[in-house]
Parts: sequence; C-alpha cells; structure tokens
Amino acid sequence: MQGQLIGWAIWFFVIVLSAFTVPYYLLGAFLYWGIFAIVAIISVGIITSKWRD
Amino acid sequence: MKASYIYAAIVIYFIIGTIVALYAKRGMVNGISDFFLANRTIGGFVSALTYSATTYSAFMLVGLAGLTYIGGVGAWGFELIYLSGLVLVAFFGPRFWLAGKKYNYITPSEMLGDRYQSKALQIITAVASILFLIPYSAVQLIGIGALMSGMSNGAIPFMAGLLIATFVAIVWAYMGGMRAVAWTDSLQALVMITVSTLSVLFVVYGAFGGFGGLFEALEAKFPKWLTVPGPGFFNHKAFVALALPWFFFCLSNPQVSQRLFIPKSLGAMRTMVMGFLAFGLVYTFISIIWGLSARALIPNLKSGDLATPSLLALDVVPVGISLLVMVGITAAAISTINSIILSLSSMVTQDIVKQLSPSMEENKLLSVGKIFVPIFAIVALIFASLKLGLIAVLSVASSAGLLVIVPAIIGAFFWKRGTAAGAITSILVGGIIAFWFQFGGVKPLGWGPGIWSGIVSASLFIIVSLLTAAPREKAEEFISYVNSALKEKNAI
Repeated sequence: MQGQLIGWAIWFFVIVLSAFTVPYYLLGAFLYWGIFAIVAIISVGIITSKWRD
Repeated sequence: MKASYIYAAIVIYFIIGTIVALYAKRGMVNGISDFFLANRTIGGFVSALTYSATTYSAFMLVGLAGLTYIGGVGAWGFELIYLSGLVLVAFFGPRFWLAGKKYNYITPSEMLGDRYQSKALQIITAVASILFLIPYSAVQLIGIGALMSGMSNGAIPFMAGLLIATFVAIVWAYMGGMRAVAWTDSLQALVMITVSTLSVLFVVYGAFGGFGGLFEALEAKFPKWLTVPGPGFFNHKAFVALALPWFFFCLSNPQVSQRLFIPKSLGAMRTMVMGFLAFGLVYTFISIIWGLSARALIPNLKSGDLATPSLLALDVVPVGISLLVMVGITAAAISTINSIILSLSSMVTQDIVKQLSPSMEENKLLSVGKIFVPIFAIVALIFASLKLGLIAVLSVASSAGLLVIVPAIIGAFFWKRGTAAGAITSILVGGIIAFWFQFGGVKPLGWGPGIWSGIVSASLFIIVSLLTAAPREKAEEFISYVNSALKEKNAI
C-alpha cells in the first residue's frame, strides 16, 4: 500500500506540475489542459475503482 | 426584463425547492449527527450533486466567464487545475470518512482538535473558517443582488435580491439540516448544468453557427485569447498564485471537506468524486465558452464582470433562456451559501460551544446550532448590504487564508511528530499573512498571498512541531487505525 501511495503521489505531482508549466514554456494550451484534466479524472477513477465497501 | 417575470421564476424555484426539502426531511431523526451530516447516510448520486452545487458558486458563470473575457484560455487552465485538486480526495477521502465514522467527528476542525489533542486548535480552526467564509457568502449575496437588479434595469432593488437569497438559504438549511441542503443542492446542481448548457448552445449556434464559427471568429479577431499568457492577465506568476491555493480547496474549505463525512459508503464516495469530476469538467467548459462568446460578441466592456449580464441582454438569447440562466446563477449562489452557513453552524456547535461547555446536553447543543443558521445568514446579509471593500478583500483572501489549514490536515494522517503548537502557529501566522498581503497588496518577489501563506504555514508547521512535544499515544492510535482500515477497504 505504501509503495502504491508514493507511486500515485509522484504521478499526480508530475502531471499537476506539467499543467503549471507546459502550456507556458513548451507550447496548444487549451488542448493540453483539457487532456491533463481527462488524464487526472481517469487516474482518480483507477484508484477509486479498487475501493471496497 | 420585466421584474414580474423574475419574481415569478424565483417563486416557482422556491416552491419546488421547498417541496424537495420537505421530502428530504422525512428521514430526519433528532440529533447533531443527523442535522449536520444526515447521519452519514447520503447516497452517491446526491453526494455528487451536493458536492458540485456547494463547490460551484455564482463565480463560475459570472466570475470565471469574466476572467475568460479579460484573460482568455488561462482561465480554463486555472479552473481545471482547481478541478484536478480532487485527486487529493482519492487519498484523503477514505481517510476523512474512516476517521469520521470511527471517532464520530462532525467537523474537520473537530478532527484536528482530537488528533492533536488540543481544544485551542479546534476553536482557532473554526474561528478562522468563520472569518474567511462569512465574507465569501456575502459576495455570493452581492452577486445575486446585482444580477437581479441589473436584469430588471433597477426595478428589483439590490437589497430585495439580497433578502430573497438569504430567506431561501435560511428556510432550506433550517428546515432539514444536511438532508434538506443535500437534496435541494441536487435540484440546484441539475438546474445549473441544464440551463447553462442550453444557454451556451443558444449563443454559440445562434451567433456563430456552431463551435467552429466561434473559434474562427476568435482566431480572426482575438487570437491572443486562445493562448497564454494571452492578453496579459494570466502571466505565469498570476496564474500560479491564483491556481495553487485553489488546488487545495477540497481540503481547505470546511463546507467542502465536511462532505467527505456524509456518504453512506466508500462506494457512494466513489460516485461522489467521479460524478463531481464529470460535472466540473462540463460546467467549466460551459463557463469558458460563455466568456469567449462574450469576448467575440461584445468586445468593449469595461469589466469582465459585465460579460454575463451583457450577453444575456443580447437578442441572440431568448428572454426565457435569460430568465433560466438567472435562476441557474441564483441557484449556484444559494446552494453555496446554505452549505456554508450549515457548516459554520456545526463548527460553532461542536468546536466552540461544546468545547467551552462540555456538559451541555446534545439537544441543547443542537438548538444552539439551529439558531446559528439564521444568525450566520443574517450576518452575511448585513456584510453584503454594506458593500464594504473589506468584504471583497476577505473573500478573495479566503482561498489563501484557508490554505493554512492544509499542512495540519496532511500532518494529521501522515506525520506522527505533528503537534498542536505547530498547527496553531501555522494557522495563525499564515492567516495573518494571507490577510495582510491581500489587504495591503503586498507581493514579495512578485508572488501573491496564496503562495506565501502556503509556504509560511507549511514551514512553521514543520519547524514548530519539531520543537514541541507531539501527542504520541493519540497519533499512534489514530494513524494505526486509519492505515489498517484503509488496508481493509483496499484504499491507498
């Protein structure tokens, strides 16, 4: 569990950091942020799909 | 627009909402947990809609559309970074829910007070929330007053709009507590998303022949609005200073984080999170398109806040649709206000009165909590009617000011060495910095108050905690329980 927690935390840190920087420094912005949001939503979906009632 | 149309629409909206509130009230039993948290029995669909309606205020179709009008697609990035802050719920949602159920927490500040074994921390967190959220509610009321007055060309006085919104918020929150608020929020969320989608389709297809036409018009006349930093408002420092505090909104704002206690199961919480993310993505897109449409159609407005009222006044939007949008914006504001006053009332009850009078019986505590529902609403009304500049400052500072609670929340679940002294210092000093920098327009190194309040509060929490004694036994018991329960639920 600890490993998963750290792995997902790093993943989210990277994609959120990219949302703060990529549209400004590498790019376009409209599409990048849209794709970023969809990737974040899918990631949350993967994590929460494993929850047990 | 005729004032009689607006009054008729508001009366119909109030009657339907009250029927829903009465329906929701049927399941009520007496008790604090039921009044403030619906006994933690809310299903996933209603949880998703109340979370959406509480989070999305009149800011979206007025403020965010206005930011888009003056700053372009940077507003889209800012709002989507806020939406992506819900990734924090994937980590903290199950933790809040499990701890709340086990220790019977009603408010997030109660959880902090117990975890760090400090009544002072509990009271200070509650007071900080009240100080920042009353002005935030007042700004919502000001929005409704200005909208009704503007759309009726002054036939509906500004004060009448304020009184109508306050009355509706009090009736629904007082009538059935969290059950009534959650169900009326659900109705309002559906109204918000439906009417905003309809209105945007009317504008985009009526004025531009479709989305392709809108973007062609923007490319031809306002290409900068499709780029960052664009026309200049969203330079990188402004973008970061705006977006970063809002990323933590789901943890920092008690009216939102308290909703992590209410789902009936983790399955319901999953529906809540995913439902909100879908709602937020659509509602954000609509608000941005609304602002871009205003830029293409009416480019010479003096202020971004005028974009929505001006767009609604155009012939391309039928009167009926304009009226529905006004109801949708009013619903967005009221659903945020009544959630805030209910949340603040629960904090007065659990975090202040109960701590100062530990022997008070539950039914008396509940009576105190109910009394504070109209009190907070009326205080917000008085603030709004004064139209003080200070209200806007406090409201804008609320995201930076409430951000200072986040280090203590993270520490509660992940750091056994965290202490009450560290949490109190970080909240007090961070909160003062947020207010001072916002009020004084102070921007060291060009960064806004949200950045500095976050850095200062996180640093102070760590440093002061390392210098003071932690409640070892409670920290060990609390974190061990949460971790073992998470394992059982297969949550990370």
